[in-house]
Amino acid sequence: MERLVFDLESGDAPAARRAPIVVGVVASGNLEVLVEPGGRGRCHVEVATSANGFGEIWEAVLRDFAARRPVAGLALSVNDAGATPAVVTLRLDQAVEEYLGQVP
Amino acid sequence: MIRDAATAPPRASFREATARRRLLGLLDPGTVVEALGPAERVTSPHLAALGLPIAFDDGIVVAEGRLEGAPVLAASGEGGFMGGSVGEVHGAKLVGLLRRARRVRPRGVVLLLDSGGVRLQEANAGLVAVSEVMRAVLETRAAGIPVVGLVGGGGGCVGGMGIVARCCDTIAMSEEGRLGLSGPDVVEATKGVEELDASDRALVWRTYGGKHRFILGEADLLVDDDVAAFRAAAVELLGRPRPISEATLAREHALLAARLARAGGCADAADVWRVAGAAEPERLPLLDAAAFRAAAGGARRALAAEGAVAEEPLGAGSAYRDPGLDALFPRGDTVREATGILRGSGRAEGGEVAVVGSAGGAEVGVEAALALAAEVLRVVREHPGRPLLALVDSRGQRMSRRDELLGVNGYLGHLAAAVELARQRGHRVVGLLRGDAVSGGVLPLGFMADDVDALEGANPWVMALPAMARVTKIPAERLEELSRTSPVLAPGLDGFLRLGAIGTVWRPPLDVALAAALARPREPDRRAERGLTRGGRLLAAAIADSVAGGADAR
Repeated sequence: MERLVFDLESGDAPAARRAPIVVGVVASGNLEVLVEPGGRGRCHVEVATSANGFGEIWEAVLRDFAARRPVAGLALSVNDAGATPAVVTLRLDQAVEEYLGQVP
Repeated sequence: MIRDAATAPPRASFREATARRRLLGLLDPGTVVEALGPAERVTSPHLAALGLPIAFDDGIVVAEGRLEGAPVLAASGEGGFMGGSVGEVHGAKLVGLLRRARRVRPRGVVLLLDSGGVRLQEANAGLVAVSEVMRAVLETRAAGIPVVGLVGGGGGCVGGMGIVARCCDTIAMSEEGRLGLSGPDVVEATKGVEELDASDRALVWRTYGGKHRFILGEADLLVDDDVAAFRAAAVELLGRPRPISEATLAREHALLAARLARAGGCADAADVWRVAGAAEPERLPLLDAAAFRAAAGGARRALAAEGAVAEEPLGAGSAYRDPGLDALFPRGDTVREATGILRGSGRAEGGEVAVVGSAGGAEVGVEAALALAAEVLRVVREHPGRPLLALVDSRGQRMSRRDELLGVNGYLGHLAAAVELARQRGHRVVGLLRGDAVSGGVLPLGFMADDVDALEGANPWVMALPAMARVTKIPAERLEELSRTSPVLAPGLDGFLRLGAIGTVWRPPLDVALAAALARPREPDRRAERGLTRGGRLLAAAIADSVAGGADAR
């Protein structure tokens, strides 16, 4: 297991507070993403992954995600069971869409 | 995708949905309130200690909500996470939900079961947790609150959770669901590929799948793999409660006895269907749920009909003597033994005590479970209030294709329900582990007792360490090392004492120890609290209390 922590620059997420949500499942090749309100100005991401030594790839995937989406002010927590970067990207997008799609 | 929008709304596959999606789709929109949800991060310390991935909800959603306006409680297991397995946290959430039901008295409880059973990575805690869930389900039913099981997830419903399913009032299944006790992989790994080829998908579904379970009478409804169909099934089944009573258990007993008498000689599900009089049994796997129900309803009734009854599948047995039994009953006993199954009674200080159980490591299969249930029900009928002593020396459930074909988990669930009936009718039930005490050999009888005690040298365990190493892919040396300090992994008495699963170890004179155990007042299930006091299970009690909404909800 490896734990990775990132504080990413991003555009501000819409301000209203919403209930935490989780998407995905911690199954082989998959992951779960928990989205909660976080500190202002940054997107805080904590990753626990069963695949050691992929920190650089995580950083690249997450930076790309934070550049595409306004996620500053959110905290993301990830439990990963060896998902590919494509699956990670899909889940992150799904998580943020579901979180922001809630009626505030 | 091509779909005729005019005729059919899109189906939402129950099997493909996550546990949380299933639960949200089952209950009325906007009514679901989850307890100990993912943001609370109540996760398994045992997986973390092994360096394994955790899930924020430990693989189970427990919630309050409404179903067609009626208040219900619901739980949904995630088969994708660790095979849906039950560990300390996962089990405690379920126990807490069932205790909450007895406090708030909803219309019913709906359990979406998707589980391979005990989580081997926290084996002992998982076994105890499954046993606590069994007791909690039965106590909830005894309190007049129906519990409905839904089986249609990708992980199936086997192992201890296969027994839990059959502790429920009723079950709805999809064809894609699987229900049993020893899963196909376990049977193949233990008995060899000749016994059951787990890679033969047609054979697996013919044996464990929803269609066969419906004909057997193990499932009450067969529905399409569709969230809305499961929702409708839950509504219907909540209106068909099967409260724990002498009458309902007598009916269940007759059904199980008739099934064994009629289908006990069958080698394959198609033979069972033929014996039950199904026309063109080889066509049944091809039909959709509606056509299948029409074609197979008669077979289901014929299999359960009275008239072919094997009430005493083991026969009367022969007089049983062992020094341990003499020490328990120096005033004499009439215990008889057949294939390692004990039935009879002994004279204790305060009067006659009924004796049921296993000896010599006997494996418990369909005949043994039915014979034991018959004996418990007979004691309830003929000897009101007589205490029951459940002796355990069993290396577990009998693992065979035939037992699975007949629905052995249903027989074990029936035995557990019989013990619950005895308890409800004021019989004091004491479990005593005397030798091996493994999984299906201890869950429906010994672990169902008010008090579970043990003799020196008793050996409760879940799986031998080398096999556990193979299944969990944790090196055997590391497991050995961990099991020296971890009560959750170490086979044997000490670990189970620390987990609170076993009360005390009896010392001679054993007749005095028995009298003392029988004289103790009946208490609710306090195994989790005891595990906390003894330092073996630090989380279960608090988690169950939190979900139940108070420590005194029993």
